[in-house]
Amino acid sequence: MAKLNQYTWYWICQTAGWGLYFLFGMAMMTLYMPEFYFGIILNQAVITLVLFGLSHYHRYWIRKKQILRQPVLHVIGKLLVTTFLLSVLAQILITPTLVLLVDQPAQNYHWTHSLGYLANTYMVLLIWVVLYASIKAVIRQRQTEIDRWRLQAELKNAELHRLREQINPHFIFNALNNIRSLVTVNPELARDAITMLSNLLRSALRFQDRHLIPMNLELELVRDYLELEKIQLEDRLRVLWQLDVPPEEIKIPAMSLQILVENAIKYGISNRKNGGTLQIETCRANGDIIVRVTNPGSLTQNPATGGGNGTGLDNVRQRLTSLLGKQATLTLTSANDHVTAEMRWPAVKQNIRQPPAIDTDYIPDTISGSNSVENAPA
Amino acid sequence: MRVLIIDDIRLAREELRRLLQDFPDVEIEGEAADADEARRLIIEKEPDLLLLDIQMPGENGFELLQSLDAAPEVIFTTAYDEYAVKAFEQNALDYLMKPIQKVRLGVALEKVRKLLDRPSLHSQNDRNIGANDKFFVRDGDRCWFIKLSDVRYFETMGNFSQIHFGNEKAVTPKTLNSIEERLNPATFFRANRQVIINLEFAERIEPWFNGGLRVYFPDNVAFDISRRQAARLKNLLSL
Repeated sequence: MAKLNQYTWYWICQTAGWGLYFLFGMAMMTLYMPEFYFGIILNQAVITLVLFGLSHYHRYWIRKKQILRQPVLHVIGKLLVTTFLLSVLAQILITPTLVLLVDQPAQNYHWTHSLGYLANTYMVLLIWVVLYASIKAVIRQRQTEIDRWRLQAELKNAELHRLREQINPHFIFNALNNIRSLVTVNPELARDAITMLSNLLRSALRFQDRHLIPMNLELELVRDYLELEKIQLEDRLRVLWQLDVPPEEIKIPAMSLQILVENAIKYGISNRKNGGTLQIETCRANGDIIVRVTNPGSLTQNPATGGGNGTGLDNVRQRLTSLLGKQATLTLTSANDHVTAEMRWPAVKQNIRQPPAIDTDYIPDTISGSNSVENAPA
Repeated sequence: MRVLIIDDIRLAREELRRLLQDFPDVEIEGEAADADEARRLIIEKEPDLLLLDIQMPGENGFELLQSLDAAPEVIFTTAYDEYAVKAFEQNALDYLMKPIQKVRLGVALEKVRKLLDRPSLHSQNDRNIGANDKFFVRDGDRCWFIKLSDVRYFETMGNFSQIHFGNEKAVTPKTLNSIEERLNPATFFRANRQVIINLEFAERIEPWFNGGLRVYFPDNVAFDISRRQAARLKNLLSL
């Protein structure tokens, strides 16, 4: 069966419901009326048609004013009133029509009859509106549930995407390949490399968007990452550290320095035959804290600004401003055949406290690159 | 089977060497860490097979292949490259994902072994590419190894040329003149300024206006041959 939309369903229910009402009325009258005559059919038809029209108008009005989105008590109050008004209107429409058309015998008419008719119509229209509102509520609830699932799925997707932004899969598989090779030639280094890769993957999995972490932890992560890159790039990668701000005094969005370093290696070191020197600095200037990563290369050949890895940097920029305030910036500049990525934010109000001791059981010391100038903080 | 290993990562080259130890018919002719070194070794050693990493500093694996007039058999190795892998799958080029599984390596080598067993029609003339030689073309995100004998014609597109082969066509950043220099003129004939045609595909040849000729290819494709070239063609076919 083809899937019908809500509008079609409404018309089917509306027609079927009032059709049943018509038949029911007919049945009642033939049972209890002493004599059957044509006027009875006409009588019932007029009533049904008027109620059909008025209930449809009621729906139109409810949708237009978005009544069902209002607080429950408002909904109940308003619908009781409008249903009553519609019932009165129904009497005004039905009574003269019947008098004209059917020429009802008026001899035993009493004004209380009108009240009875009114109460009757009111009940019928109330039943209609209750049915309508409850069906709508059920549909709406199901829709919200679907929306919630969909939102959750999208969130998961975004998370996965972010994970891929944080650690380049190319890097992971190359690292694994290197480890495979090391297992034979240098098992000790292979073991270290596995630990470092684990640390890196764990950090990527653990640190969600909304985190500032102590610089010490971020540096540990970056050092693990650099050691792994050194296994691969060997003496093509040289690192110069210049950390003028004690790392305990800085908090930084998780994985942010890591992404800048990874970017710098991707576009400034690994694509050069002879590699190059990576410079990682922190300093204070004019009350700002500055974290800087410099690599050889130029922005024109650095796709980071356009496509490619731009999303990684956008991600860092976004987190900088949301975690460290609107004055926090990430800029990418190039001069003298070098590209510099710089994070900068006002030094005020940084929550300075001792970082929790996490992952301190591992300190890389075995494979510090012999060619790199290591000035890493203790 | 004589093999050249091309990868910028030393550990990756070593790992590949170790994996290849278990295949006694494989002789490792050498290894290169970048495209320049690889090009030199390919010319010097004429290997049967390249085990080629795609991501390398400077020229990458594709660029290296595109610079070769005729490429040996190639098995690509890659750590993770969605786009390249897609291109390979479309065109059934062989690739291995790093870390490499020995079984997969064995399967890939077996395929190459079968290809090498075929009698090859290598050209006598070193300057020209033989009919069974393959060359590599990358056009956008698609890539092919095209066997020269499958090419019906080359068509000029300014500084580029379009290669018509099988049911497909690909654009290569080479001028028609530079392609012509590398081809055997007895098979690949310069019909006019626009095209070089593979005479193996000609169904019939008819006289045309002004002393020219018209060469008919399958599927109602026809090429007009200028008067000057017509004389050459007659000479060539001893008509």
